Amino acid sequence: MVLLDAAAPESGLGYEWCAAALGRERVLAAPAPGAWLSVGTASKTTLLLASPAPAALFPLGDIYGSALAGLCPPWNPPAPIRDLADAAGGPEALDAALRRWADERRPLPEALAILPAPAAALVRDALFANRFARRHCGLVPKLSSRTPGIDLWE
Amino acid sequence: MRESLPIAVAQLDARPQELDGNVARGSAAAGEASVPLLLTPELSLTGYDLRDATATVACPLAAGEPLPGPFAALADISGHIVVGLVERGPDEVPYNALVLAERGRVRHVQRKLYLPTYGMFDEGRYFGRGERLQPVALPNGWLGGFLICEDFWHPGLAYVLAAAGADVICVAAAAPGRGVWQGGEHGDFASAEAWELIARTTAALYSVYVLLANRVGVEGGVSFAGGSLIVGPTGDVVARGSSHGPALLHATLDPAELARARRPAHHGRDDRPALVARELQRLGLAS
Repeated sequence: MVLLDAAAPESGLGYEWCAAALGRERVLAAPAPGAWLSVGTASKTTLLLASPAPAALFPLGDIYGSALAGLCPPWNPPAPIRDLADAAGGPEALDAALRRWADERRPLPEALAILPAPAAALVRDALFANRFARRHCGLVPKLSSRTPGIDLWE
Repeated sequence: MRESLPIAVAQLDARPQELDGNVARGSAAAGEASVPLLLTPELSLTGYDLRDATATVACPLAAGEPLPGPFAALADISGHIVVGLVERGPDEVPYNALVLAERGRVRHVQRKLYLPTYGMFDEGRYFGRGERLQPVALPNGWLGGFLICEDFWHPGLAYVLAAAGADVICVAAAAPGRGVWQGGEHGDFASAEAWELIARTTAALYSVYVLLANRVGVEGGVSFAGGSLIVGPTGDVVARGSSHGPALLHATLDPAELARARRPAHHGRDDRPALVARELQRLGLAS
């Protein structure tokens, strides 16, 4: 397995997950000769709102970005996510709205109602733009009530 | 006349399509438990996430006949064992089934009646629906009913079994774990709380033992939640499995305990299944 973006703060957690599951000798920092699977470190926030570099496995993909930042600081989102979080009033506010939609299954307008109106519009547009990518993301180990690639099909 | 019956619930892992390995796990659990009746989880002999391999692992079953193929190895087990596998019906339709086997021979087959086909579940795509619910004689004079996973979330089925005189309801499940962040009172998954609520309520409402064997292990990113249970006829939890890792739960079904649970209230005695049936029909809900 090859860990993409090995320099990211969360890559350490991703590495430990892969190592625990498969053995340290199977997790590489760069592709090597022979077959290998790519491992991404995208959070659930990123999988919902953006299109990360394709990977076969996203071990952190059912953990919201704000929670991931608590596990392995600092917060390290892609630029589009950072912009959305700034508009929302911070990563926790953004993820709270996403949690209302994805995990609590509230209708989207109701879920985003806790955000400032401009931020709600941006988040709505990002969810719509990325709906195909998140249906076909790589394998995400299930932790929550709705998980990208397993049972989150909106 | 019921006599005390030692039983066990085996909380097992299973690997999709690895029939020999799964049979070995079941056999080992039976050997360790050494009881007249052992309950294992849903699809314990085949694994859960079979998809197009469902037809490949399906096997024909006939009452009184030996279990076929790799499942014949269960003949070495001295007591009764309840195992999950895929039945190939006479119509060539595969069914998610529980089999009560004794010395490798089929004593009873219960097909899954409700096939979850929503969210992460796609059973309706691969399995045919069972159409019948039938309690069956267990060792030592007990009468048991079998339900498979989603079936337990349709309370009418437990009602039918209780109305038919079942003393113990055996539930075999492959329930995924959800809600790690919230956590559960007794384990890692919040989702286990609902299963315990249903099991305890069912036991208390009908004054029956409830045995719940839920599997553990991981398939396709989904962790199965474990948390197997043995619940007494007053609704008290007698034994509980952890949320991770195989486990073996033991209890003894006690006729005196059953009798105490059914006194002084007489819900069972006073229940009127004919009234329920008549009202369902009158309301146009039952053809």
